[in-house]
Amino acid sequence: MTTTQPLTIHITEKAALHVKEYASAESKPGYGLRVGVKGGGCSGLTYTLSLELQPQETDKIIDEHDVRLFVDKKGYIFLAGTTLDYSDGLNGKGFVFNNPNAKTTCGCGTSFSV
Amino acid sequence: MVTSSLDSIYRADGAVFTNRSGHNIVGHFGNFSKEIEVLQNNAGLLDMSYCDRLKVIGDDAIDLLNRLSTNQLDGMDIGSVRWTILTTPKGRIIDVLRVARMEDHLIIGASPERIRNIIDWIDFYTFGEDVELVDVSQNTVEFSLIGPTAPLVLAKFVTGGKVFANDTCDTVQIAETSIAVIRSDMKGYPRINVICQSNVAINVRQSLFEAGKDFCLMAVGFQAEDFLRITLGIPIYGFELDDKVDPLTAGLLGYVNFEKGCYVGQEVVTRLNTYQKIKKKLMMIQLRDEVNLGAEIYSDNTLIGEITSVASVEQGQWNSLAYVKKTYAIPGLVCTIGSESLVEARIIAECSIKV
Repeated sequence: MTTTQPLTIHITEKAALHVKEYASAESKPGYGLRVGVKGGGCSGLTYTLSLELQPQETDKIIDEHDVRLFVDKKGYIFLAGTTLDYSDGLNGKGFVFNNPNAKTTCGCGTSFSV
Repeated sequence: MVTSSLDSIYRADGAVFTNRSGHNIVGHFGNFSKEIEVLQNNAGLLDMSYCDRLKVIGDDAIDLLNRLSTNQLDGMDIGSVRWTILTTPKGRIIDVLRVARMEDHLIIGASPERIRNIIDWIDFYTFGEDVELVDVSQNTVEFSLIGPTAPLVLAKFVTGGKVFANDTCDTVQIAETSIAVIRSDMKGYPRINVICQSNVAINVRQSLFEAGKDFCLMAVGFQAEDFLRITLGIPIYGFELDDKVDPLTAGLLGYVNFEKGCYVGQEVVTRLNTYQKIKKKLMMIQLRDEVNLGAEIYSDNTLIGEITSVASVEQGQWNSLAYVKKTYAIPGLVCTIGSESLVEARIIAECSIKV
């Protein structure tokens, strides 16, 4: 019998490590990472990341690799199934969103549409 | 059919009504030529309540609209007015918006029957921002004073007789009520819009006419205003604009800011401009006879365009707007309406709203 995993948002170990390093550098150790979406950007929607101490009441909270992710309800609709990764090295792009919901992305990759 | 609370007054004044986007509005007051003359030389008072109006409240209102539209709205001063275009991710027009920044809110002027599309669009892209959208189209009346003396009429309601500058807005006392006043000229033609609650509209209208006595202010209908906008080459939604047209093809370059960074549809609009990829242009065309909207334009048996708006100038001459293939969009080109050369036409100029 196969079981279907509920759609959620993942963060890779590499990305989680960078979040913890960044939080430490900002004197915000143990802060959660708010993963969100905002309107605007050439394709329509833009990803947002920020460090926050506490979640909002209606947030979805995901714990993975010792990082707490906070996602608001509306943003979750567009982000469900997304994996937050980190691309480093000389040609690295930094934090990268692998979002199965995204139909198109803009040329620079920061904006997407569903 | 949507009607106005002032219809009985208009009827008593001899109004002939017409249907516009599902609204029963005044076409003219029995003297179309006189109304055009008044718009060109004095000032006409037009009821344009059939257009939609949106009140936007919240600290993030300007920032959100800036991210969703073509013009630079960030840094708009209180009392300023700017036009911008809501575009899809493919750079097509959802509507052209007149944004007036009042003391503690924005008043947005939109095209008739577009309010639901605009509210749904902005809502879709709102993620927790402090923004509240209030449709005030039904409970407000919007009068438009158009013509060279329009600013002088409004100056009578301002302490010291100050004349409103173009693209400015403020609140003014008219008929003992606080009224929003928004000036945004039509390509050099003074145009001042006055927005009030429906229940005071009759008194406000009366006060405007009292103030306008010295300046020959006269009631005008939609047809005279439409004549003026066609002659000036101004496109409107439902005729030249829809969700298949981009801002550059429609000649609305003046409402697009290429320095502001990302907004919805920015990549497509910028690419169209950089590589000059538009395939047709909006042109003003003079005709020898009346034609139907959508009539095809030919040059030497080649289909080159389509008529989008028409207005009568005088006997035997009509002004129109049309989309014409770029290679044929040449002022002075003589062409015909219909493949059988039934009506002669001449391309006059490109329609363009510049910065």
